[in-house]
Amino acid sequence: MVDAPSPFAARFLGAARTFDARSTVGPIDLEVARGKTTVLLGPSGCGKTTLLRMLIGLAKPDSGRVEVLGESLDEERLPSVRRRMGYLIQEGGLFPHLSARQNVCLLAQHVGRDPAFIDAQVERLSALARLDPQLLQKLPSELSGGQRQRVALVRALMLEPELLLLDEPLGALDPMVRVELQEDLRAAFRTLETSVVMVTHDLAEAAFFADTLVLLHEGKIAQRGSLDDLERTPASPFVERFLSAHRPARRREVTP
Amino acid sequence: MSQALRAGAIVAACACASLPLAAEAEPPKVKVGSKAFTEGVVLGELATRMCAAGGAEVDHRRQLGGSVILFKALEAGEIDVYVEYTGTLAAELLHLPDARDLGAIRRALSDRGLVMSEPLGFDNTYALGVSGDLAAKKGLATVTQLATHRDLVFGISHELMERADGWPGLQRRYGLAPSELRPMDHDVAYKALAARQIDVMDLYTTDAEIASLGLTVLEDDRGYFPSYRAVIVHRAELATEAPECVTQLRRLEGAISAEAMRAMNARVKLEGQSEDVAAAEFLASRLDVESKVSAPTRFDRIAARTGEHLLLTFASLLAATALGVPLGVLCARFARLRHAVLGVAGVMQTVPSLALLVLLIPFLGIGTTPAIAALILYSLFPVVEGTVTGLSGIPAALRESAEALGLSRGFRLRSIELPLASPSIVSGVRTAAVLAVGTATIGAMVGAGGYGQPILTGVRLDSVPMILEGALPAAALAIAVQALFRGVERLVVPRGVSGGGSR
Ligand SMILES: Nc1ncnc2c1ncn2[C@@H]1O[C@H](COP(=O)(O)OP(=O)(O)OP(=O)(O)O)[C@@H](O)[C@H]1O
Ligand SMILES: [Mg+2]
Repeated sequence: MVDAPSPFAARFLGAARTFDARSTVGPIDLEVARGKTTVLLGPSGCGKTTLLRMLIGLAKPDSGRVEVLGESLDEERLPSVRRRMGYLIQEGGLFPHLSARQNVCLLAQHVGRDPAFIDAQVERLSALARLDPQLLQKLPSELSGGQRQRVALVRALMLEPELLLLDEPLGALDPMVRVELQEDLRAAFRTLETSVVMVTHDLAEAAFFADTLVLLHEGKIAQRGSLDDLERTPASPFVERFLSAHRPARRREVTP
Repeated sequence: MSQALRAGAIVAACACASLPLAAEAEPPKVKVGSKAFTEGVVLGELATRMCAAGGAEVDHRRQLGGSVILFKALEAGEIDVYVEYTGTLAAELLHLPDARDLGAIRRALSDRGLVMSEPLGFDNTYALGVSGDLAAKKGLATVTQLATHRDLVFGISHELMERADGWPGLQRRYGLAPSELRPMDHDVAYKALAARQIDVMDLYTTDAEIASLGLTVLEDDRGYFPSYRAVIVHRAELATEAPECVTQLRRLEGAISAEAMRAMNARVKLEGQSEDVAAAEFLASRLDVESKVSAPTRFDRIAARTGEHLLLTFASLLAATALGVPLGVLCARFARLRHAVLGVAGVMQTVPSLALLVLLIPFLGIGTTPAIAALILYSLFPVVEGTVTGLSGIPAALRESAEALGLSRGFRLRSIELPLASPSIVSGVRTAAVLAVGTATIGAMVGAGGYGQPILTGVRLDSVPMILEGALPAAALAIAVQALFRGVERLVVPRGVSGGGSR
């Protein structure tokens, strides 16, 4: 943590990125509260991944700016800011030529962390992710989709990031593991006071994790608040339609 | 390099035999060059043995690419002496109008720090020849006499038909009137004449076949053909560095008649003796110079050529890889550099190898160094291309995860990007290696040896076994290189990276 912690883990200040005439993301003004979980929701192509990429400096806004962990994302500061963050990309992004364990330990070893620390972290986090330690010796191509996703999650958590960016982290998991993992992850985030920005398509999962929910539509914020706020006072017909389209999934989750 | 060792051994033996007392002073070192055809190599061997008789340690860089390579090598001091023809000196090398004006040639050479001997005797120019029978029957000795006969079939080589100073002018000068004129290949013409399908053909005056077929060479009595008299050309400094060598070389002046040269050519071309033998016999019988002849076995020869070829191939491959991979990394990052480099390298690929070697002589001389340099230039392209292809083929998701982790740029390159690109890089290097094995045969043209040497010799002597002595090992080496790279691929390409890497 920096000396004078601001209340925000990250901020979008009118940040916008235009890819072509039809797909513009932003301008967005949004604060990611420190120690809280912010969930990004919205239809496919609305700009969720792009916002995460802006936070990690992979997508540069062409107007406005982004502040992360109290720093603006200058080229030379990027690596050190990134090491205080964890990013789980939508497709996992494991390196195919490294074993699961090597994938997980790569950065920690690169920055010269103590091997005892690394071993302890691997053990703790793979238990958290419900990952059989035996699987860590395998190459990504030898793992199932869900196993790969959990390895990627362990990799993102490895250095106890202050800000964690998760792009559909649990998408490839079967419902049973998924529910268990949701519980454990939320508990872990709360204990560690990790700031999290998470993307999910599952409204129930969103409600479960979110301190703040941000619903995006065509690159802009349609509404933000708790799920209750959204349901009680939808800001636009789009919000209403979106919620009703996802309701069946929610009911199933609420029943037990 | 065992060839040099062997030459050294021969020379040492010669020097001891002829000058037992000169052994105390450090013997001067002399490098003799020769052209890549039989007569050229024989003349080079004669010069080599005379220098050895002069007490020098002699290195014969035999069958170098051609007149331009030899002349440039001489100017650059890469060789000290070689035998050239006045016609070639005047027309091709010094651009003088008249090959008969020896004074003008000598002055032009001396401006370049070179010295020319008196002619060695024979004049290897074009001439017309007829069978001995026909010459006797019709009393033919000169071309003028030939013009009085209008019932003869002429077989004229394509080369002479096309030359500015060729057939049309010859016909006009003498008023020749063939009953039939057949353009044909030079070698075919000899066979046609022997079979009496033609009566008259053009030839080089020292062709070995003249003696074996019993041909009569008609005198060019109106001096139509340019003069190609053999002369020794050497660096002026040789006279002070190795005066005794120059004295010995001068003993060849006027000593080699056209018959003698023809006989030596016949020894090699028709009787299958080595140039060394032909030259040593001539020197022993005509000039009383005794010299040793070494006869390496075929196995020794192949072993020596293999060593040279491996050196050429792997030295250039190593350098091309060491240069090409970093260049490929830069090219993958900077599009403009990529276009420039791949453009230039692609063009390089199309420059004929002989031209490239000639261009390199002023900077690198002759021998192994320019051959390796040329090979590097040829091998660079596939290595750079393989590296660029490999790096740009890395999925964006992987490149970005590495970046997002906060890994430094160098570490990302070493630990993520290069391993992921390795199948394509290895395949680029393999392509370069196979290319280098094939292209290294050009090394023989600048005296770097290798499998190109027996191939050149075989082509020159029209000897299939000799060609195969170079071609078969070259093919075997290419196959071995393929196998080697399957091993390299297994070593270098990590498990989990989509293998194969076939391009
Ligand atoms: N590199 C790019 N080049 C061009 N267009 C892009 C690029 N990245 C994103 N876009 C466009 O920007 C818009 C937002 O994309 P983004 O990936 O952020 O969507 P998303 O909300 O993550 O969608 P999904 O739920 O399907 O993952 C889309 O219209 C997409 O086509
Ligand atoms: Mg997305």
